[in-house]
Amino acid sequence: MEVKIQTRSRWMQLIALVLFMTLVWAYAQLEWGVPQGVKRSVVQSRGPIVARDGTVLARSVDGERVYPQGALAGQVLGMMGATEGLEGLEAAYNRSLEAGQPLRLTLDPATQSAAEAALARYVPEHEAQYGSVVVLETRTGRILAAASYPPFDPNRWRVYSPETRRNRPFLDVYEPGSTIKALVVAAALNEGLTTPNTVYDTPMRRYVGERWGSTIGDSVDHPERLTTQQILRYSSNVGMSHIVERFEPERMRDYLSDYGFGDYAELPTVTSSTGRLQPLRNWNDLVRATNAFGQGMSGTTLQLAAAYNVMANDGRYVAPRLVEGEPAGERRDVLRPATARTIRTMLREVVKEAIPTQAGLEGFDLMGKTGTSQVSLGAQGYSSSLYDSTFAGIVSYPSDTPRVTIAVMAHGAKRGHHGSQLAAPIYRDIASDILSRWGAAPTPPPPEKDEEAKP
Amino acid sequence: MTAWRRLPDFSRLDVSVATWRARAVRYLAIYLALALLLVGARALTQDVRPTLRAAQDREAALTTERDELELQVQTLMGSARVRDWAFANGMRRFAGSNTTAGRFGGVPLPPPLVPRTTLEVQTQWK
Repeated sequence: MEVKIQTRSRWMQLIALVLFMTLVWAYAQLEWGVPQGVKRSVVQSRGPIVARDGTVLARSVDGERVYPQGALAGQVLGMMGATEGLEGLEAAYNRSLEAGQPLRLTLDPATQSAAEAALARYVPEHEAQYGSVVVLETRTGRILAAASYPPFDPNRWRVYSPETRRNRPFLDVYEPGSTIKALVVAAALNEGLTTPNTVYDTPMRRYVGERWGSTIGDSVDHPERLTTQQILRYSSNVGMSHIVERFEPERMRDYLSDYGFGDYAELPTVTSSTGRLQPLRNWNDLVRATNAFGQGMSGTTLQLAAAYNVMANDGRYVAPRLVEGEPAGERRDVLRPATARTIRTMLREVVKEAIPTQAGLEGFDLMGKTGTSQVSLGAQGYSSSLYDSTFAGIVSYPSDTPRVTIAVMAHGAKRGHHGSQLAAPIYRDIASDILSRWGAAPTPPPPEKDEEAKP
Repeated sequence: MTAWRRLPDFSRLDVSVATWRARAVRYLAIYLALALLLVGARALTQDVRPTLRAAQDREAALTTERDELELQVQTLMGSARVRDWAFANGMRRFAGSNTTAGRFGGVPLPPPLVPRTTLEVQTQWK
């Protein structure tokens, strides 16, 4: 009888142990990872992310999230963890994607790949650290491309560093440098403070400000007197300090703010940076002058593109959009249409006279402005070896019908760091690609005079 | 009184052994026939469920294969890939190509037509 009881108790112990181990296993499954069936169904039912033309950028196949276009717009898309989005649009629109709703973007895959290819060609060639590009559709503010370099493939996101995953055109804040000059000149034209042919005394160096002032200088040799047009052509900081001399600080700051600097880009849900405009109380002669050539303020590539889009869009600011179907952001008139046309003519001349091969294409209406800015190190001042190369421009077709606005930034180039050497060719290549896809015919050069004289 | 009348008259029920035996045999036969029918139907349709399961598995496999092929097509047709292929095969951007302007002479006029003064009519009768 006693033996029988012992045997039964052994059996009961064994059963209890098995039941306990089952509990441990179930708990471990919950703790270390959700049950595979749940994960599979969550991923499988997640909505796809598609581009404007229907190209699938992200979808779920066989219980896995895949990105068929590889690195195309990788930083914009972000990536997905076990059951939810971790970064980028996958995280920003996690809830609607989880509900199975597709997300249609404004991105144009061909423009996006053109931007990424141009960055991939020039950034390593100049031994730069990284770069970003934004392409906007002029009238609507749709973001056709938002490219970052180095590339990031969300299919293998674990092998990339957080820096590579960074959506640079929306997040990286930097001083835009001389690209700002065109915007400030446009504002001054709009206020009647200057004209394209107003002449200024422009020595190579000039002291600005009173007690707390500083000497500003130009890097490109130029005549001692320059018109406003030539100030843009030679990118003269001294000339800009003259143009803004009669600009009320409050008005000038308002213009920069209306261009979109110092505020969010009104992209719903998507994370972006604001950049910085100095508070009005800090504005003195020196701050006004340095802001006129893009120092002492900061912004993102997206903001730079949106600001140039004002000049392309006959003076109207259109908030950028990344997702189709979302309500359009704010629209506001910043410049008069006539002013916008004047500044476009001036920018066209800048490309024709100063950088015809770097930023121009024969027979096409391209316009823009370069920028080369020393990188701010905060309290330590400006770096003497680290530069941001920038370019912002407009692509028109037919002539003087702006259709696309492009902003380019490359950081830390060790060779050929000037905007005209690095950022301008990136702009030119992207513009060339876009015009080629439009099938845009070049405008033939005007006939030579002796040919005209012939009967 | 009326309710009392509606109750069955139990005293007149046939509860003899023979009657119960006959009933039992009859019901048993019916139950056996039904059971036989069910077992037969099950035996005849026993391959339906495995076939259905196999079809479902095959459908799932084909759906996965379709998705993967779609994915492969999308990857192969990606704009970046097409661009790389085009440049690797010596193609150039239209807008970046060199353009030249030239004058073209007019095309010589064809010789004037000989004026016809007669009219020829052919009539075909059916």
